Amino acid sequence: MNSRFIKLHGKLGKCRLRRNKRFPDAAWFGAPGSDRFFRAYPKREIQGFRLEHQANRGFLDKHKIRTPSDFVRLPGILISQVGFYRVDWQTLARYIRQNVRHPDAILGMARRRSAILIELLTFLRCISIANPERFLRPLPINAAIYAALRKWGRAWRKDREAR
Amino acid sequence: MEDECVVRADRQVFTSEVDLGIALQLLADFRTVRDHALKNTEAPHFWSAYGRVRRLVNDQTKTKLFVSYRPRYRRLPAIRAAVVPDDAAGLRRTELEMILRIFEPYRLVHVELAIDFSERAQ
Repeated sequence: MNSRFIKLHGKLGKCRLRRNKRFPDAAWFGAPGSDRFFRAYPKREIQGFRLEHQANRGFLDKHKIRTPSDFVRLPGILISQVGFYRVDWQTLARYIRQNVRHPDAILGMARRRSAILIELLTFLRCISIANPERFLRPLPINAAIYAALRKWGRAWRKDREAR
Repeated sequence: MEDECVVRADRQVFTSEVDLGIALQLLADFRTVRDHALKNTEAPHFWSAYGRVRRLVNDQTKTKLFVSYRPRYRRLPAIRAAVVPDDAAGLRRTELEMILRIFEPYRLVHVELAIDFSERAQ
């Protein structure tokens, strides 16, 4: 797991990749002042890579998260919005060849944007391909992430009950 | 497979209107490490929102609490505090609730959740 993997496969809600020259090993999605912000960076203290979801006031108001007991809803929200996917190029190429003018040029342009999944999806929407998410296939790591989120949700709920 | 990633509650930021002196008396588990003014010497045209920051640490859990106070603008809440847990342990609900109870009435500003991936996760 590294920032390249996050850019290549990550779909984090509707957040778009933010250019970040200061920290080349990190990937930022969204803006710090917006409703939510994702930060992905290598962290030595945990000997791994950390993906942080920062929920700001707009997000907290929208989802009515006001006290720590409301945090149990966070895993469900993240499970519905965070995921890692690969592009099914075969299906996408077939669709473009059947429905879009100048398919070879369009496919070339799409492949040039494939290093950042979110930019590729934006490009596909720009050329009037509705719902480009249908060409995405989930990666196995999603299962581990969702299991970890559910486990944290259960532990957070139990932490209160154990008191 | 579950060991590939771990979810932890990370930094939590909230604002409050309580008197800091009273709150500090109730924060028995926390020890003040530092209390300093923000002089903004590096940014002469921008003043940070608060004039002082007090840094507290819980020696047992290694949780840090940064309390910004003395607001420089009229509409700001009296206190803005950030609870920063230990990177490896994460934040426990009981500890967060204990802190928030002291600062009641509070309003959450940032809620951070960290998904930590091990090196072999792919």
